[in-house]
Amino acid sequence: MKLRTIIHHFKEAASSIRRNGHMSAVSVGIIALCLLILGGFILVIANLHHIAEDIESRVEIRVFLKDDLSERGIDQLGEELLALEEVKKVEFISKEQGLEQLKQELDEPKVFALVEKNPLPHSFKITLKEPQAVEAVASKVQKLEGIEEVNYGKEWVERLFTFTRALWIIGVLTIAALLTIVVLIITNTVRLAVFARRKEIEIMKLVGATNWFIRLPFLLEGMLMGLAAGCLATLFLYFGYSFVAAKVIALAPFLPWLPMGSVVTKVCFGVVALGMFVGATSSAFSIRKYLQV
Amino acid sequence: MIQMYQVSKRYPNGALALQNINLYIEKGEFVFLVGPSGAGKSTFMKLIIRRELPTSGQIIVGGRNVTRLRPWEIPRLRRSVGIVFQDFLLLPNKTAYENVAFALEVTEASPREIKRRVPAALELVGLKHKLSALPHQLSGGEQQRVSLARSIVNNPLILLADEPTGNLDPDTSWEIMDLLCEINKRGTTVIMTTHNSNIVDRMKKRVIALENGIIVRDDQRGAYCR
Repeated sequence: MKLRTIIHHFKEAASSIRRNGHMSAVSVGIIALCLLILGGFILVIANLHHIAEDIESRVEIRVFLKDDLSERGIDQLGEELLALEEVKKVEFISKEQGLEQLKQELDEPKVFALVEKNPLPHSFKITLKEPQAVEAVASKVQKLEGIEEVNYGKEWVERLFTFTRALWIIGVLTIAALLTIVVLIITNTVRLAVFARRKEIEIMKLVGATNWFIRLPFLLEGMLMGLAAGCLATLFLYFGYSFVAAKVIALAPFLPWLPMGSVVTKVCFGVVALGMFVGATSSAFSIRKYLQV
Repeated sequence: MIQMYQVSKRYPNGALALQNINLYIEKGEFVFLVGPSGAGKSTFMKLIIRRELPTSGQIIVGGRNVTRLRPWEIPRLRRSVGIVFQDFLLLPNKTAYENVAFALEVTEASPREIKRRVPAALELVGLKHKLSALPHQLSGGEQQRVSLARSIVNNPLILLADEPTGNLDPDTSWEIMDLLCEINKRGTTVIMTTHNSNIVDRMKKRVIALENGIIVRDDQRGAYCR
């Protein structure tokens, strides 16, 4: 195919969008709406996921040590813990620090007034690279020498992980369902646009146009409309997100809301790419039927 | 130019459109194809441009065996055959000029060639002054002229005219017939289906009559009825 022909096709696609103005506008509108809903939902899921991850990252293992352990033994144990591959950070908390923390957390001076001797043992606080590994690490640590007790809030952690896993599965399923619906709607919209021009395709065939000659302008047209719809959706997503994010941060400053930037940009790019891809492929598919003349 | 050997066409629904057709049409001939509706005239045309494949038999068009063409060879066949329809089949949102240029763009002709040949074709059909008119701004006769110009703009070997005067009044019909004769004189083989007995009788050209898919008559200087 000659370069001139390709340029011709681009012109043809652009002028055909202009000529079928009403139809094109409706198609672009519908596709943009689909992409907007999809993109918005992905952002919501991404935020929920982010919040869940933030909570998960607070999961820690508390290792209480035997009272008779020497200082050298404590250091050695600390090194052994750090050597475990799942472990991110090990923090030593002495008896005294432990008591201080407990006092602060409980805020009941009367209770502590009764305590003469510090009943707490020395301990380590372990933070993990992958919070999901907590159970495995806990059982490994249990087997080490000089350990009195390992505590990581077993029941609470299990419930948290069940919840985040469910959230993840629901998110993925919903996005997959939405994606399917969006693709179907876009395909159908493009198919209607192609159907409206089946006579044009028939004439092209009869004057001896090759299939690619016929297909290309439709493909480009679908792609351009997808691009337009994607940009439109991106515009709304971008401003919509910053608006909603501002509101949420004002209402609930403690939530680790995803900042504008990387994720939003990724979703926006994805939305534009998806629009172009689906626009082009559904054009190609819709036109196939009419090419068999 | 066109040869058919033992050609039969049965549609998937069982209708037998053509039966055992044998014929030879020479280069530069003018042929009328007549017969009642459903006699197989349209199927005959469709077989020539490979819109349909025959159920059996061989068809040779311009030296090419149409029944053995690969899918990508079909566009080439169609570029060598011009077609005119009863309902014109013009693109409604392209001007007369663009409609004619369209047939050349498809062949990836150079812009220079398009600029040279499109006005020439439109001049031949007498529409040089209406290049930028859209189809709905033209009369039926004028629309048919545009479609004629489109069918001849890339100098086809054969021109198929499927009831080209079917939607036109008698005077306009004769104008179109004059154009077809002119095109024929320039060397293009013309095959025309029609129900217009008046035209067939006065033209005194070869007449092939179809009935129920069979050639019932083939006269060199024929009339609509015997």
